[in-house]
Order: sequence, then structure tokens, then C-alpha cells
Amino acid sequence: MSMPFDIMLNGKIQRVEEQETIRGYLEKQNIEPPSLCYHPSLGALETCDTCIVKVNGEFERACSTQLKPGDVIETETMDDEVHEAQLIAMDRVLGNHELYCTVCDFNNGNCEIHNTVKEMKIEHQETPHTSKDSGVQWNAFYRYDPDQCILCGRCVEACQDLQVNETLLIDWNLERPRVIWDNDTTIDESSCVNCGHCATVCPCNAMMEVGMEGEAGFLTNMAKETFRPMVDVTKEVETGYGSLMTVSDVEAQMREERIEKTKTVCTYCGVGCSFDIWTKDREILKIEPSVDAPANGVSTCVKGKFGWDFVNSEERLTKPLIREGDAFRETEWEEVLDLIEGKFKEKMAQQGSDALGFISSSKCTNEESYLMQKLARGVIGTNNIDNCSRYCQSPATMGLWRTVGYGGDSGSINDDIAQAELIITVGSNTAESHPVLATRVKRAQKLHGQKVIVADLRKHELADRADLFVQPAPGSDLVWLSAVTKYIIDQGWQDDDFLEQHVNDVEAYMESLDKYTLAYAEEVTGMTRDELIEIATSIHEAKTTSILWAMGVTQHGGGSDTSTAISNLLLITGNYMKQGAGAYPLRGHNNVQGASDFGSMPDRFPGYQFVTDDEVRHRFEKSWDTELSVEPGLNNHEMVDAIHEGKLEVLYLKGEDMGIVDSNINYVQSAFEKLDFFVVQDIFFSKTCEYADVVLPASPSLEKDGTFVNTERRFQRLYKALNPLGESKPDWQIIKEIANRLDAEWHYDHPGEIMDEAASLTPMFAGVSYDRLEGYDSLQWPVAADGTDTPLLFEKEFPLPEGKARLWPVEWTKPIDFGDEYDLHVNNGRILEHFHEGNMTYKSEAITGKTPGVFLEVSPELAKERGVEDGTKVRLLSPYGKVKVSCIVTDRVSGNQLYLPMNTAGEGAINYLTSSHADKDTDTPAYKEVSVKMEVLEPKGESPLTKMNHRYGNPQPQIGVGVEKKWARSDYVFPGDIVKGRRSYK
Amino acid sequence: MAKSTKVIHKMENDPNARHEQEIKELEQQLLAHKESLNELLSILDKLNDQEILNILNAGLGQSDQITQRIITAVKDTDASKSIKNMLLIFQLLAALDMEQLEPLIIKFKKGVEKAGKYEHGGERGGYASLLSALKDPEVIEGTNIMLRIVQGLGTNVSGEKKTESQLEQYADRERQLQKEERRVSRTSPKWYIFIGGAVVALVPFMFKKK
Ligand code: SF4
Ligand code: SF4
Ligand code: SF4
Ligand code: FES
Repeated sequence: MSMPFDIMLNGKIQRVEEQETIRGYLEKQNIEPPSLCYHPSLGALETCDTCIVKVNGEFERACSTQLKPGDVIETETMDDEVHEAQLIAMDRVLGNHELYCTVCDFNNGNCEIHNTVKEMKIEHQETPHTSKDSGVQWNAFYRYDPDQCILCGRCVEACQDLQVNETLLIDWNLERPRVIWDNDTTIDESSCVNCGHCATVCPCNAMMEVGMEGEAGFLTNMAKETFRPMVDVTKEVETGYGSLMTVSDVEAQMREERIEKTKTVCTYCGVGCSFDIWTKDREILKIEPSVDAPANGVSTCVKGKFGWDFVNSEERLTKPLIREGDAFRETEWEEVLDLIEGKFKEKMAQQGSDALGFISSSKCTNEESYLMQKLARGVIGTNNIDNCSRYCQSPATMGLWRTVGYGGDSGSINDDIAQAELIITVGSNTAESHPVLATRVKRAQKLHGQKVIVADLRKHELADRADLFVQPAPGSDLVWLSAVTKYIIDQGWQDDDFLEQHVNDVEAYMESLDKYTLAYAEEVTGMTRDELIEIATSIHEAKTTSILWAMGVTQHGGGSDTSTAISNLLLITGNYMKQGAGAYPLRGHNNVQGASDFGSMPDRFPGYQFVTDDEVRHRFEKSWDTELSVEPGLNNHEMVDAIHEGKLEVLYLKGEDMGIVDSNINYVQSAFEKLDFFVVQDIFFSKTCEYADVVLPASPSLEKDGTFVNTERRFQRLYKALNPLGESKPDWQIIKEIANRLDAEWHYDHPGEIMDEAASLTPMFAGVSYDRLEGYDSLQWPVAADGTDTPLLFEKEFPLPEGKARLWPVEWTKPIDFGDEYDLHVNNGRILEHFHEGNMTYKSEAITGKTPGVFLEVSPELAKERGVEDGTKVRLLSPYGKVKVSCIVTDRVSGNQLYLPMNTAGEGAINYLTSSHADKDTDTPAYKEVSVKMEVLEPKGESPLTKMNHRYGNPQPQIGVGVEKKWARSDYVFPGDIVKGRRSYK
Repeated sequence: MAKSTKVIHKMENDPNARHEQEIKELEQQLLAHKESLNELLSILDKLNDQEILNILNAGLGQSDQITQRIITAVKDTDASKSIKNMLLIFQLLAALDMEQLEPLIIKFKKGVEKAGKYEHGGERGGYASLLSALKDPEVIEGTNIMLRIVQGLGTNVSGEKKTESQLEQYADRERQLQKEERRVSRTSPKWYIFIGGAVVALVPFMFKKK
């Protein structure tokens, strides 16, 4: 269609500049028709009919009708036809939804039905509201009241095509249609993963978070028996909807006073979902995602939507603890700060600054990471500072530094990953570890034909959905990646122009590939020749390929090299510097990216500036007014070694349960025991705290201001939603107080000031400021001084010599051989509903109710061979330790593969099995290289996973809501036709 | 040389010290809200004169069962909608005893009418500061109305007749849908009744801390 064109709107000629729907156009003209089923994140569903307007003399739904040149659009007509048609539609809506706003928990000014009734000035309705005679569906997360459901289908669309969990349907064949789960079962027995999309997009109280029930309103917390008469009284009292609206509006306004809505950023994974959190005192009513959220829009997973109970947990640390012999005693801040001051000063004087070590957390804010490294470097005088991204992400960063210069995702979740023609994931359990990011892939695949190739050991959800699923032998990814690259070059499919213009070292690299023949790859990886060729061909055929990878790649002896191989493949095929393409190392924790970005690394200042670079160091020295050490410090593995060697005697660690999440924890724990003085700062009394001399109570994300950087390099602000519990304090305040005890004279009153200082010293973040990050505003680094950010990381050049990327030859590192005795390979990683070792998510009763503890996945073949069934208790033994755990049998794993989620700090903790073996380039533990032998302890037992778990559900995929089935019902007549009929009588 | 331990000795909370601390906090709160409290007390005095407070007091903390009985009773009386509305709001705050309440119903109505006559006078309720939430001037007006209602409770009520139910008023639906502008504009007196009611509702809330 040639643009622009003219149309006639209510008798006036208007110019249309872009292709859009009538509804979209009208919205811009501020004459948006009612549109109850329309949601910007879901598009037109065509179920409600309230948006009817006249187009060229015919009644049409404005939400789904595209504007065409010369269209004559009428939104108001002399004889009120359009309004009448809309009223008929609204009347049907109200026949399904009872207006008892004053006593409704959803009456918070944003109920779309309420607002539409008000806008349309409706006073009464023709069709009386009647019950659908089907009970309320309820689980511990959300509930569905069919009698309030207007059958708009937004929840269905969200579940089917946005979250793509494919649980919800509207059964249009029922006498009274309603929303159903799977095959019309209960929520808990269905495949529902409790992501909350459905409750988020519901325009009314039909699908609602249970946290809201009886809490949001002044008059909503009443006994069940009282509710019905109360509604009747309300309605009798407020017969005209006008008065009802006003009474309830007043009440809604009163709610504003006591319900706080604060924007925050999820504290769990690196996707970086942001949303408003609704709180009443310390009570959390709900998480309200927003279309404005840059990474996630209205999406969340169960953790972000419902996993916040930990904040108010009785187990939170609320007072500093001090060790006395073999026990701790609660104390006041003064006393611990005195002690820390004394010990730090004493150690610095006696042993020198390098006898102290600092470990920062990838759960804390950028500002806190910055202060921690400033404390170590600027106040103590050591570069012994690291963070826990060492455990997962450093190899990916290394692989990218080598080849393209920046260690970050090439683009964005929505603009690139969702737009790519081909997605390849390697060693990533994306749907469970990065749930919302995975929804974008699932949606693109389902609706837009994106091709998905998954390389993984385990048939997880994305593998199950993939167009091609391959299972290379553990630790062999580098080989197939290189073989595919070689095959592409052998076919002449490489992007010569791109290589010529933007890449160095091409020749040398190509030569290094000689040994990676298909035959060699088949032998090492166990993949077939066809699979390898199909992958190569797919990349060749797709205009854009994005490769996503995670711990399955990085946590190996050759993790950095495999990451490099991925980047090499992308370079050879020209899959950088364009939308929809690039490298996406998926960051695990919420602020893995930011922790390193802000300098919690032994050899680099914020923005990855080397401590050895004189110019850089002098800049920091000048600003901090002190002399800084030029010697790179120890990373956290080296710190553990140094403790064993007696060189490092004081450790200050925050927000990291290193005693359980590090590999070979027996070794780490025994190091802790040797420390002279150990300060641990956390929100809970973690395993690591057990070894501390001083435990400092910190505040979680909801209790502080700050910023996180998500996997897309995106800065987002979090605002303080709650006051720190008890005497806990935000980490930045604690660090500041410690620094000031050591005569630092820091004067920060707000994290914004810390960010200003960091930005002024870091060219990569020059333009980052709190003003530019207001609300849902965000910035993707690098950020120029004028605030221009970089959604697409590489546009014109690479930040390497000559502005060119470089191909980097790599060799395969064989995974460690545990010997024949250890005959089973233990894959390990995340599950959807618990985070990491679980000290936050287990505090959620709702989540724990569905997923009470850790379990071991055993393949049906192995189960048969060893006599294992659901509930069998086994012991796994590796040369480094042992765990005890109960099994479930599932075909997600095959053969001699086991899967042990990492979500426990108990006797099932995976790191009792792992070794100290690590990536040779970054020291990231090779968590994924574990082989064990298995002993059956108790053949029979209770299954560790309840049948209420979504894994036992029965999803019902379909596209959309199935509105055609509604239209086909004998009791459905299009409102436009009714109006037409009435008019023809006259 | 620290062996791992999970033993934590909690700090003994001295109950006296805590009590003292709480009293101090309360004192500060009272001082901070001195003006509002004075206003509140004067309203309460008036309520007290009319024995409403006693009734409320008696009802506070009663079981949901009573609430249900009363709500059902309210629903079945043929009290006017305004009165029901007032009752509704009171009802939610405390379980009222219908029998004790009955004599008050007509009085309420009087107050409600009086409130209805109140015109915009630009007066600002000092006690509106109690309700910092309600910044909307109309709501502030509503609080003024409340005062009128409370005053109205004292008037002689013999010979009053029932108000027309809204249902009857609005029986003609056809006319409604097609021609009617919004029946009730935001400034018509009825709103004050509701708003006033909502504000009255807040009074006991001040005392009933959840
Ligand atoms: S998976 Fe469950 S919570 Fe998520 S949208 Fe579907 S029904 Fe709703
Ligand atoms: S429950 Fe679903 S279909 Fe029903 S009103 Fe809410 S979003 Fe619409
Ligand atoms: S855990 Fe990750 S995907 Fe889930 S809500 Fe939080 S940031 Fe989003
Ligand atoms: S908004 Fe168009 S049919 Fe619902």
C-alpha cells in the first residue's frame, strides 16, 4: 500500500501516515472506541465487539480492520447507530460481569470494564448478570472467577501465544463458555507454570492474583457468607451505574493512599524483567508488569510474579551477628563495626593489604559492586576483588573479548532474539533458566516461523519444541561448532564481504579448522553427519542467526574456547552487525553483567578498564585521592587457594553463598575454616554464614534504590519499595560505613551519587545517570556522554584494533575422565520455579507447595536397569563427595545422563560432587563435568515432585482464542447486524 | 579458625524497654498529628452524643456471623438507598445491632438530607488533613458534608416520609440508554452523601488497626 493516503473520518478528510488498524489510528486521534478485548501486547482478539465503528457504511471491528485508502470511517453517527452497536456489545459483557466495584479488589482505577462503563455513560443493562454455574478456580498463586469473566480471551492469548505455555482455552462449546485449564482440570493439576501472564492481562477481577484478595479494598475483606448479601446491598444502593462508579471511584482513591506502587527490577535472573510492585505496609499485594518494561513488557515468570515472600520471611537476618566460640550472638551495629575496623586495620598493618580479599555479588546493585571494589582498591589497597559471575559467565565474556571486543549480548531480547530467523541455543535450559526470554523465542517460532535449533544434553522444554534437537556428547560443543563452521567454509557459504570489511586473522583461522571434519565431529560428539549439515544449511539459509548459550558451554574446562568457537561461527557467516543476529551469552543472576561491569574483578576497574593501564589508574587515583595497586589481584578461586596457603586471612563476602555454590565445596568450606577473620553479608543465614566471624544483615532489592544491568547490557533502575527489615541495611550503606571506619570519608547519601561518580570515571557508561533512567527508561551500554545508548552492540565497527573483529583459533579441551567406575554423567542446572540454591524461592509457600525440594531426573532406560522409580532414594558418589537425593523418572534425560537441579543447600547439593577443575582461561568451575556412580538407598519412597507439578500437566496448543467458534454459535449475532435489523424496521 | 555453626543466640528483648520505646513512638505520633486529633475528637464527641460510638464500640470485633445477619437485614429493609449506603459503610467497620440501630435510621436520613442541601461554600474541613489521601477538593467537600450529617442526627424526625427509590426513578431504560447524559453529575448533592459516607467510614478505621 502506498503511503501516505487519505481517509474520511467523521466527515473530515484526514491523512494517514502509516499502515495501521482503525483502532490504532483512532487512538492517536484521541477518539479511541471502547476496546475491552484489545491489549497492546496481544493485538486484536475480536471477542468483545465493543470497538465497532462504521467503515464505508458497514459495521466493523476497529481493532482488527486495517485502514485502506479512501476509507470512510464513522465513530459517531446522527442516529447513534455506532453507539448502539457498542452498547449491545457492552451489555453482553455486563451480562458476564457483575459490577460490585466498591467491594471488588480490582477497583484500583485501572479496571477496564469499570472505566468503559463510565466512559460510555452506561446507567443500566438489559441482560441481567447471571452465573455461569461453575465454581471459582483457585490455587496458591491466582484465581479465576467465571462469574466475573467476560470471555475476552486475553488470558488465553497470553497463555497460548505470549507465554506459550498453552494451558488455557475458552471452551466455546459449553452452554456457558468459560476459561478452562488443559482438558478442563484444576489449575494445580494442569500444565500451568504460574507465570501470571493471564492475571496480568485480564481486564478485570476474573483472573486475579490471590495476594490481592481481600487486601486491596477497604471493604473487600469480608467473610464469604457476607459477600453475597453485601454485593446485593451495594447494587441496590447503587442501582444506577453512575453512582456506583462514583462511590467506587472515591473508594479507589482512598486505596491510593495505602497501596504503594513502586517500580522495581526482578532480583532473580538476568532477563531483567521490570514491573511495579504493589505493597500495603510490608504486605505484597501483587506484581503489576507494564507494557513499558523494555525487556519483558507484560511478561514474567513465576519467580518474578509470585516469588517475593522471602522479603518478609521470619528467617531474614535483622541484626548483626558476632561469633563467640562455636555460636553466634546478635548484637548492635556499633559492636560489629568496631570489630571489623579493628581486624581490618590490624591485618593491613601486619600482613599488608593483599592479605584481605573481597567478594561481591551478582545479586547486588551496580552501585554496590562499584563501592565494594572501591573499598578493596581505594581504601584497603588490594585488587583482591571478584564476584560470583566467575562461577558462570566469565568464559562467555572471554570468548567475546577475544573475537569481538565487548563481553555482552550483541542486541536485545525483543528487537533481535525475537526477530532472528534462526535461533540456535547451546547448553542452555532457556525455558527454565531465562523464562521470559524463552517466551520470545517460543512465540516467534509459533507465530512467525522462526526456526529453532537446540543443542543440549537434556530434552528440556525448548528442546522439545525445537525444529531440530541435537544431543552432542557432554563437553563436545566446540567440536561440532567448529565442524559446522568448516563445512560452511568448504561450501563457500562464508560471508566474504563481511570478513573482508570487518574481520582480521581470517586466513590463519580457516587453516586452524582443518581437523574439524564432519567425520571427526561425528566421532567426538556422537552427532550424525546429517545433523551437522542441517545446522550448517540452516545458518546458510537464514538471513539472521542468533546463538544463545549458557552454563552448558561455559562451565567446562574449555568453556572460554567453546564460547570463542560460537563467536567464530557467527563471524564467518556475517551474523554480527545486523538486527536479529549475534552472540547472546545468557546471564544467570539478575546482575551478573553489572557486577563485572562495575569493576568487581581482580584485574579491571569499572567498564573493563585494566588496573595495569597507567592512564586509567591515574584517573581513578585522582578521583579517589589515593594511590592504587597496579598488581592484578586474585580471583575467587585463587583466593580460596591463597587461604589454604595461608596468604589470605581476611575475607569480606557479600550476597553470595559461596560455601554452597562454588564447586568442590568441601575444599571451599575447609578454606573458610582457616580464615582469620571472615565477614559475610547476606539477607539470610546462608551456609557460608556458618563459617563467618561476623554476619551483617543486608537488605534485598525491594528495600533499596539502585540499578541492575540485565543480559542485554540494559541499565534499569529499582526504587525502594519497602523499608529495610529490622536493622538490616542496604549493602551500599554497610560498605560505606565500613569504609568510613577506615577513614574513607565517603559522603554518598543516595546510590544516584555513586552512579554519577562511576559514570564520570568510566567512558563506557559516561552518559548513565539516574535522570536518564527514570521509571521504565533504560540504557544499553556503551552509553555516550550525551546519553546515546547502544541497543545493537556492533554497528559500524568492533572495539578492537583497526575496528575489526578477529577470528581466534581454538583447540578442543577434552572433559575430564572420571574413569569407568563413575559411569553416569550428572548434568546440572536450574529449574523454573526455584532460584539457584533456593534460599529465596523456598520461602514462598506457594512455590514450595508445588515444588518442595530437589530431585534427580533419571532416564526410563536407566531406571529400568537399576530398579529406580519415582521416589527411590539414591546416593551419588563422585571422587569429591556424595549427595543423597530422591529420583523421578522422566524422558527429559536419556541413557546414562542424570539431571540434578542445583536448587538446594542441603545434602542434595550438586557441589558436593563437583571438582576444582575449571575453565583453563577464566577459572570458572567445570560444574558440568561430573561423573558419578549411583547406589540405591531406599527403593521405595514418596516422589519428590508432587503430581500437582506442572511437569505432569497436559498442554493444549492452539493459536489464539478460537473466536471463530464463538461466532459460529447459534446464540451469537454480530451487534452491527442487530442494529441494522432495528433500523430496517423503521 | 571458625568451625561451621548454626547456633545463634538471639538478643534478649527487654519487655520494659520495648514498652517504653513503643510509648515514646506513640507519643511522637500523637504530637505529630495533634491538630487532626483534636478535630477527630470533636467529631467523635458529636458521634458520642448520639450514642453511635457506643454502638460501634459494642460491635467492633464481633464475629463475621453478626456482620452477615446485619447485612442481610439491611438488604431486606426498605430503607432508602442513601440510608442503606450509610449503613453499608458503617456495617463494614463494625457489626451493628439492628435493633439498637433502627431508631437512628431516620435520624441518619435527616442528616443525609441536610447534607444534600449543603452547597459549595469554599469551606475547607480542617480535619481533612486527617485524610491526606483525599486531596481531591470534592472529597474535602465530602468531609464537610459529613459534619452536616452528624449535625443532622440531632434533629427532630417525626413525620418524615420515605424517599423514592432510585429503581423507580430510573425505570425507563430505553430513555436511559439513548438520550440520557450521565444522570448524575459529579457535583450533584448525592455524591456528597456517598463521599461523606466513605469518610465517616474512615473514623473507626483510625482506631481499628489491622
Ligand atoms: S501458564 Fe498458567 S499462569 Fe501462565 S498464563 Fe498460562 S494459565 Fe496463566
Ligand atoms: S479471565 Fe480471561 S477471558 Fe475472562 S475476563 Fe479475564 S482475561 Fe478475559
Ligand atoms: S526470574 Fe527472570 S524471567 Fe523470571 S521474572 Fe525474574 S527476570 Fe523475568
Ligand atoms: S476490541 Fe475489537 S473486538 Fe474487542
